[in-house]
Amino acid sequence: MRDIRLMIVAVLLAGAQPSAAQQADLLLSKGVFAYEDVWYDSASTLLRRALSVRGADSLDTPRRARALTYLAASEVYRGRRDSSVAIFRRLLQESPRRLPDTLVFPPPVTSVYMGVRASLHGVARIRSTPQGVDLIIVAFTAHRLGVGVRVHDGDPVRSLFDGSVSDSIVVSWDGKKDDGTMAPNGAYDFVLIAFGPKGEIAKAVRFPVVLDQKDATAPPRPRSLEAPPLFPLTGLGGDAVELVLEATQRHLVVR
Amino acid sequence: MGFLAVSSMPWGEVTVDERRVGPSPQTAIALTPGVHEVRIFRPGYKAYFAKVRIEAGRTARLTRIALPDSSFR
Repeated sequence: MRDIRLMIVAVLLAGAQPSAAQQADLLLSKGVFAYEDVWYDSASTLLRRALSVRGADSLDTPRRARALTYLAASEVYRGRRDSSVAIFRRLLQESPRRLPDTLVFPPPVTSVYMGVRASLHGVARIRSTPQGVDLIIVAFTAHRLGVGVRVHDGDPVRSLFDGSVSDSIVVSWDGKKDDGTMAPNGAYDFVLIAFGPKGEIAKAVRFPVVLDQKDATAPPRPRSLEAPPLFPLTGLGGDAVELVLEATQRHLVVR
Repeated sequence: MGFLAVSSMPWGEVTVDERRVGPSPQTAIALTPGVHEVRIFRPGYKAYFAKVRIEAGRTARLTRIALPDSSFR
């Protein structure tokens, strides 16, 4: 019986090459199958291969999340907890609202996930829109957050948000200054600050933004300089930038 | 000594010879050679029961066990 099972897995691993478009999906299905059959080394190999497919044939976001979840679980049962933590961290950065199915994954897996989630506090990413730039923040626990815009490495331009976030919030900047006039073309920083329980700055992250006017008849619109990066709101250090902040009850000043 | 691998959907608590082992999946439950009674149970679902023969140095596999919802007839 064991030999037959081994042969099935060997055939699955060595099977006929699918087209590139099918490959990632097929690797994902085989990886999940191997996980359910308690072949964790095989599951890990197959799921990593599924996740490594790039370009148009790569897994879409929900399938990536599924692959990452099964991969993290496989790593738990391979005794590689550190690897599982890193994979769950990646999952939370890519799909902050994704939760492992509690019918499928037992406490040894979900407890690792919850531990990573608690340590991250939340994630934020930036996106360009037709109106300007949005900062999308998902908080895993209630946090006081501040969001503002400053000239790149320079003076504050606009205070956008200062308050508690327990779930998620989208903060938009349309290129205007605090006085309602349009900011001049140039480089800016979208700045996110997470405050600690005593009001101290726990984390400050900047997202480069450029404001330019391509069409003389259209108003200038800011846009994100980078593909949407994701920044875990962890403790001090890491991505933190040198900022001096002055928080009042209503305004957040970024210097 | 032989081994038993168990997995189920949904996950459930595994007992072997009425000894609680932990939640499924279980990769390698160490057992003495011979026949053992395996049970997987989860509230709200019908329990699974099987007798498994364990051979020395080998791993018996009870994987992909479906636990039907207890409302299923």
